[in-house]
Amino acid sequence: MSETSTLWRPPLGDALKIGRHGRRVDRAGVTVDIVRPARAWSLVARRGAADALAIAAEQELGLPWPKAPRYAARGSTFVVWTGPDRWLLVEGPAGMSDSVRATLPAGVTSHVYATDQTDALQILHLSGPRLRDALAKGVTIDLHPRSFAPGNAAITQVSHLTVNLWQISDDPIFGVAVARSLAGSFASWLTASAAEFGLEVRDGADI
Amino acid sequence: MRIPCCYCGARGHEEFTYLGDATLARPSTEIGAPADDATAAAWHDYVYVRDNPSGRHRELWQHTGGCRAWLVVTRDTRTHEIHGVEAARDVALAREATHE
Ligand SMILES: [Zn+2]
Repeated sequence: MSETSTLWRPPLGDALKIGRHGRRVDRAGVTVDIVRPARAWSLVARRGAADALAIAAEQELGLPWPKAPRYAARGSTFVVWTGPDRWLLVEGPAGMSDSVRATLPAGVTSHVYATDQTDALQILHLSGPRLRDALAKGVTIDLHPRSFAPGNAAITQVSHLTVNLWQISDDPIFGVAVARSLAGSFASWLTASAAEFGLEVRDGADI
Repeated sequence: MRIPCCYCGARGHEEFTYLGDATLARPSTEIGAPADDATAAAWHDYVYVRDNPSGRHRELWQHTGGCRAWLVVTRDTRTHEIHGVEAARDVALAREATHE
């Protein structure tokens, strides 16, 4: 692990402490992995450039570029639709810096306005057998498998906090991105909501 | 009330912010034109005067707790029934095209 791992602090600070919380059970009902992105960008397509961007991104990043509320991943790089002609692009994890680009490929940058969000967002991976039960306490959209499947994404509110939410796999594993300034409030909601199922918080870099 | 965002799908109204009458058009004043009474009256109406229709109304809503897009929602003010949702960007571009 590089030196950066000892200096890095998650945007949510100490609001989610590594370890077990809530009910003592053998297997935690909800598991949170604190993700350390190497780089996160918000991308906005230049006027009329959304189609050209999709082609360039698919070629240069190898990602099927979402044109609807969807998520796609390739290796440790992923993209989430965040609004019409807008996306969140994340490369990670930190600590694998040799595989991480410092800048976006030129073919992509010529079609977008890009803003670095690496330290502006808290990204978490949520999993566990009781995850949907915990999320149902704050998410108002239907996350039942018949209406929300791997690859689906949504911008919605969790306990009145606006978040980006996407489903990674059937297990289920969900990803969530919350603004740094709201991360502490989100963490306290999650801790309270998952307490009855048992909550385990892990440092994502250790996965 | 649920509003079917044309990007995100149906969401509860608490995710949206009401942003006013979508039927109003900004008065087309030339820069530097004299501020005469007719211009002043047109701006007064645009800024302050609103109808209070009973029935279908075209309204601007923003999906502030979601994709942030501005929408033109056709809503029945008596029943809250939603008759249609369009992207405000598309409505504005279509309006621009018909004026050119
Ligand atoms: Zn929306």
